[in-house]
Amino acid sequence: MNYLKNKWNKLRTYINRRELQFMLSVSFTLVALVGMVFIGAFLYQSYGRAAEEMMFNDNRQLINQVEINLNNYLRNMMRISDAMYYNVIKQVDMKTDDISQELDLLYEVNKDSLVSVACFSEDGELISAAPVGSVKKNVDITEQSWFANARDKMENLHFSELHVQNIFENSNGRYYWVVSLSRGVELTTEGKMSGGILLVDMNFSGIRQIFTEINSRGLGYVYLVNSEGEIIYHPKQNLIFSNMLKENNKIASQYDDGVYEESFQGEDRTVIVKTVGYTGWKIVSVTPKKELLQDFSSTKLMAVIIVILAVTLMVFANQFVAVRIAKPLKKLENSLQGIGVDQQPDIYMGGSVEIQHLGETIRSMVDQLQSLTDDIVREQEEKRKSELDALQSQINPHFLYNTLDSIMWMIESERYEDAVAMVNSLGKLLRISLSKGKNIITVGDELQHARSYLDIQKYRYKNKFTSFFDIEEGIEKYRTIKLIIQPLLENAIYYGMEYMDGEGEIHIRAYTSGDELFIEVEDNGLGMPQEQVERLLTENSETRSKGSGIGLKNVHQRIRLYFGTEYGLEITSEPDEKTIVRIHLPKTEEITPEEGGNRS
Amino acid sequence: MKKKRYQWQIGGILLTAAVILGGLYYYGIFARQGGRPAVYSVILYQNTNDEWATFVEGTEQAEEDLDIDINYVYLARDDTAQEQAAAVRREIQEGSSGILLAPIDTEEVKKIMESMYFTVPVLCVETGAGDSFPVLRTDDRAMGKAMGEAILEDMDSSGDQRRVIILTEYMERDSVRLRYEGLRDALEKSKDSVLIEERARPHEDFGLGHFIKSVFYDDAPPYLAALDKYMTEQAAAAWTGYRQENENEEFSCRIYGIGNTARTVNELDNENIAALMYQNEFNMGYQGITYLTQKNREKWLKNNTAVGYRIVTKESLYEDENERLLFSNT
Repeated sequence: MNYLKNKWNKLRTYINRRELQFMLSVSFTLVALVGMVFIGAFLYQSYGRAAEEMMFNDNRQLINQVEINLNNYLRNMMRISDAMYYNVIKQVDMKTDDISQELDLLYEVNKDSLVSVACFSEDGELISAAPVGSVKKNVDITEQSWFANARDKMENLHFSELHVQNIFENSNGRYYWVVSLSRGVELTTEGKMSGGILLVDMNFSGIRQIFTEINSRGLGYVYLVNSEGEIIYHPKQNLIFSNMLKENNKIASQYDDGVYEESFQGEDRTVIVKTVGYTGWKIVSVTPKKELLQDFSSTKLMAVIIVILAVTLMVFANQFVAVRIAKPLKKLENSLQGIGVDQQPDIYMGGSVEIQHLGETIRSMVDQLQSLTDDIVREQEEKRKSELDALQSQINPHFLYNTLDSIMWMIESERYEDAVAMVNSLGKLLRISLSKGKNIITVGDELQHARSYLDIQKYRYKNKFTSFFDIEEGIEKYRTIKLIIQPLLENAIYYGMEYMDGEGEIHIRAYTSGDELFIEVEDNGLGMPQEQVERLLTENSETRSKGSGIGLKNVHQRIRLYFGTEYGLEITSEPDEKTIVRIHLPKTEEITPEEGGNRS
Repeated sequence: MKKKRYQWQIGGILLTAAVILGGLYYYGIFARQGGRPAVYSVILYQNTNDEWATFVEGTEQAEEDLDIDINYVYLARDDTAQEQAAAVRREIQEGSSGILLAPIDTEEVKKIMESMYFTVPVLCVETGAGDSFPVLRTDDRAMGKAMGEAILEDMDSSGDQRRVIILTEYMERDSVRLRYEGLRDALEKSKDSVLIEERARPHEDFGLGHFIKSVFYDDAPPYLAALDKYMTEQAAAAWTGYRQENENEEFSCRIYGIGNTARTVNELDNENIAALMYQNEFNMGYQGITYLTQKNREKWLKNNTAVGYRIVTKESLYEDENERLLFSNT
């Protein structure tokens, strides 16, 4: 039980994992197969019953036909006997009249169905016969069964068993199988009445012809027995006479008219019996079941082959239909896999109306989703920009305190000119830092901001370093985001100059190349190893908060947010030699109001 | 490209289905009508036209029951074993599925046929052709013996002269030789001795009828034994002729023969023959063909299957069993 349950669960799991196309194909095939099996079984049963019914009807018709033909034949024989008796024998006196001419005439007219016609006295003496012949020497006519039956029951017509006509001399070697029709007759001899027997030997070939024709049609066979069960005709009479075949004739002769199912010598068969009037003979139709089944089984084989073929075709047809249904869905599914990867996935819009509608709906949803995502990204970028700009715009309090302290010290020591210059530089620095809330300023302003910053730092560091500006002519008009050079200078001073023994140099270069603009800050400070250079701009790098408190990373991110990821900072450094930080910007002139920002 | 291949596949499947359906239709409608049944050959020696009539009734019944065709080849009276073997060869070449053969000469046919290679079953009937070929026959020796016992019984009851002349024609057929041996054996074992004489034609140009009539004239045999259908017919005819020529002579010969032809039966009915031994030739013909087809289809055959024989006299001729076996109703 558990085994079956496990198997069933495995099967369910297997099916559930399969594709829609497989499920559709298998489902269609199973449903159609079950339908075909039911219909086939129903048709098989119906056809079987109809075939059996048809067989019965055919055989009944055959038997009726045989009975009609046989009755006609027998009535004809009886008419011959009646004609001979009432028209000839009763009209003549045997002493004076010769009946041989009438016998000959009657024989000649009916010789196709007659073997002989003869009249005997009650002692068995031949009175006349046609064709002319004499009785065999050692034959006692009175011992013949047909003679005895007619003598014993004068009023009746008697039909004998099938036998070889054996009473007349036969020199030509031809022997005939006959059924003898005998009757008692009254003979008049010199006015006296006496008994006699009239014999009409019917040629068996007439009976055989009737049955041979019938047996050539339909299933099974038809045979004829007399009331004692002796076979008169059977299509395999010689086999039966040679004891090579048995027939259930004795039992069949006792059946009443009707249909019987019997088993004879291990063979099941259907028997239809019909009694022939006048004679008590029985026509027996036999249909072996296996013959019926044999005929049916060939039809069955044909049907099975057709069903197999139909199922095979159905499998392909179902496969075709399943593909037609599932393929658009599969395409739709495949196209949906682009969502999340591709910003504009190509949603499949083919297939049936329903699938097209589904595709349209999904496309609409994807568009909306995309729009929403874009909005969120945009907002996030703006927010990030704002955060970074805010950070960038902050003035390091230490820087401001130290600067003001330096100014105060200059005033106390009466270095008024230096104090004025320093206040002037601080003023410029603050003015450009604010820039009326704009984030995008000209390169000229940014360079001015750098100069102001350097001027202040020179006072503070007592000219410990020297700065050099190498500015391409005309570059001032191009735009840049503000406060991007100052963090670089701050780093150069704090990390490049502060711990230097000799005089430091800071070179600021600004130049264009094609559509790009570069601003470089080079110091001849301590430099740094390559690993450190690589870490400076990555997400996880530590922000070196000394100086302005705003790291290179922030500058890098701001440039990328404003101008795209292809721009930003590039750092090259050689330990104990120098460090170059290069700002990479697009070369653009116009400053749109939108880009100006709204910070105040 | 993929779509095109798919269309080709569908087209291929439909075409295959159409071919299969067409095949089924052909099988169902035409093949049943057009199937030719297997052909078997029956090759018989023959001296008179109806010599094998009962046998052929049996083969014809088998032909009908087994749904086969039979090709009959009858040899002429003066045909030889070589001609019979040639007929066998010809039938096989023409596609016969099996041969039913009544050899004209046991030894000669054996010699020729043992050197031949047979691709189809060959079954001898009535007369054998050596141990290489199965034979469907009656127990000829027993039949000859039964004839001898009938003659002895007749002698005992009639008190006639205890002398028998045996016509020893066609001894080249082992069926006749076996009958002869059985007959001679029975006569020789009689308590009261029987004079057994043999007569055969000095040469084949001597007409058989004249030869037998000369036996009546020369030897006046009280009992004459003929061991073959044709010999029995000839003996009865010769005896009828002799009696017509010698109406007043009291000499009477009782002929014991072997045969079931219409003529021998008629001679028995007309009392020109005292008794007939006959084998069930209908069975022989029917079983012969049946065995051939079984051999062909089931690779099985019983060697030397025996069929029954009976003795019939004028008195028992119209008894049911004899009547049914001796008088054709077809």
